Amino acid sequence: MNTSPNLHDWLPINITRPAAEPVVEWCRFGTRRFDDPFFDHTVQKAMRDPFNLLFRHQTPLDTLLDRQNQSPGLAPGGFIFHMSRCGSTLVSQMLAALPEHIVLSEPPPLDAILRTDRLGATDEQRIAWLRAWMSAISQPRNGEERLYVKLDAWHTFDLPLLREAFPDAPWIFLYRNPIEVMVSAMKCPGMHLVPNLIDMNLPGIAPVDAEHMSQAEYIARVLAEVLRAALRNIVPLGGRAVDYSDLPEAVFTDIAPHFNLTLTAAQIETMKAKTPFHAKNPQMFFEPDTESKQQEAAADARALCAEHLDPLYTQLRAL
Amino acid sequence: MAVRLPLNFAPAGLQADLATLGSGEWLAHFNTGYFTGDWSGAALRAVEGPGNPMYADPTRSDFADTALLQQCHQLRAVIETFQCPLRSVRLLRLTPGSIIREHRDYDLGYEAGEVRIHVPVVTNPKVEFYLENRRILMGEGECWYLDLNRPHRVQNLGTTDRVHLVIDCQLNDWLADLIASGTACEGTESAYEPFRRLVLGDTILQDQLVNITDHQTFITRTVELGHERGFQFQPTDVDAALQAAKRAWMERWIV
Repeated sequence: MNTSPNLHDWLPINITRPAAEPVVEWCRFGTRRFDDPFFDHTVQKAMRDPFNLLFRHQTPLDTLLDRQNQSPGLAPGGFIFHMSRCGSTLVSQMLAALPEHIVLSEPPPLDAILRTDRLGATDEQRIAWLRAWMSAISQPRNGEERLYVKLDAWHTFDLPLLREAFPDAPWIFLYRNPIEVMVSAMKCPGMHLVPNLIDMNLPGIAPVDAEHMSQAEYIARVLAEVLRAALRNIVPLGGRAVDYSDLPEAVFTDIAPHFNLTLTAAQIETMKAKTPFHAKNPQMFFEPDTESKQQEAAADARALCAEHLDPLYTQLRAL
Repeated sequence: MAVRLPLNFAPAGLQADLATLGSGEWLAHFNTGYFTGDWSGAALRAVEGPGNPMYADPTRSDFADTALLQQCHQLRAVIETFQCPLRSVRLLRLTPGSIIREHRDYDLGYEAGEVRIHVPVVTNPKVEFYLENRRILMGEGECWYLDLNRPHRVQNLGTTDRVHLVIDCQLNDWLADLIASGTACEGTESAYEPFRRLVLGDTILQDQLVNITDHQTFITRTVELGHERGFQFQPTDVDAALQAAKRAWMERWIV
């Protein structure tokens, strides 16, 4: 750990989260693309290879800064923030369909760097590490030219810091009719929708109160905070709100122009080829489930939606 | 977890007992899937009746001294040192060149009150015992508590037998105190680790391994490359390192 290894060809695929000093794990990734629905799926696949299991450089976070100086990667061309269960994986998979793109979908190392504030890191340090990690992970290995990042839903709470780190990158916020998100989340809640499962900067709900809420209320309250954070930042920080109901066409009419992305007819075809499938599970055919989700919504979920979420949804649609 | 207990027995006496055993006393270990070579044992306490007397049956409690124990006075003295209920007691022999592959003994566990004690009777410097891929050196006449619920393996790369007296105990206060007063041993790295460090710093060596996806091919090639550069380690060492790395990766979120 004390000598600086030669990191040409190595990517910082993991950042450990011990109590004290985080460790960056670097992996020889070859030409393997991040084309799975999630960053970690690709890493897990890589980790089946014996070489990757046995050979990973381990360095302190500051080694990322050296690597950034030696070999700057791509600058992010767009960030996708979202409320979860609203088509964000579909959008990131459509972007990843083009070989010119590197798409990082919910990369855990980015979350690990954000959470170093718990270890006493300053905003300046976090910003420097975020930029350096982004640079190191986005080394073009197949001639890629553009970099897009889909964040975790709870990173909407970290919007100001992420904007400060990457002020030039356009960003969108994806949202969806809240009752549909709630029905989906109640069946299979994301990590941020289970009380105190992950460490995040959740405003508005004290951890001790969370333990006493029903599952539906907790989900509604967290989703409301996500929407509030998006609404608070979208105008001052130049974001663009995109409604699920406008997908997938909005990728071409709305998101691509906002990301300054000009697409050829052939590229649009390649991206559209991703849409017939359920983006998180390529085996399952995608079916627009708006109607079935609306019908499943129980009365209490509807009441919670009306109280906490519908007014925010209306505000987002009015933007 | 490996703990050397504050008990020492004179190896010469134990070895004298061992010398009285005829070849007919040794039975092949029941778990033939775990080893290559010759791993066999002689029962000193066992369940009676049909079945393999070598099997430390976790469902039985009716273990009794065997006739063999009556002729082994020094070994009996060792066993009588243990002021706790005893289950199976065996001599286990691993002949030169034999290898016990990495495995876990799930029926053992300190929390479950099932504790296995090892007393090496005869061994040699080229016996390599690994617990969680850390080598533990156990000398003749010493007494060790090992958490064999964790992954472990043995290879006898020497030219003489390795025979351990293996005592299965039920944990009581006396034994808990004995273990608490012992010396925990961290162990040392396997013979593969220096080569692994070399490869991590050598791009040319890496290039010869990086694209191999099949684990057996990878292990074979690693051993070849190591031997070409004068490193002496076994395929089992690489395999165990892979298994340990897999466990570490899967447990990476567990702090």
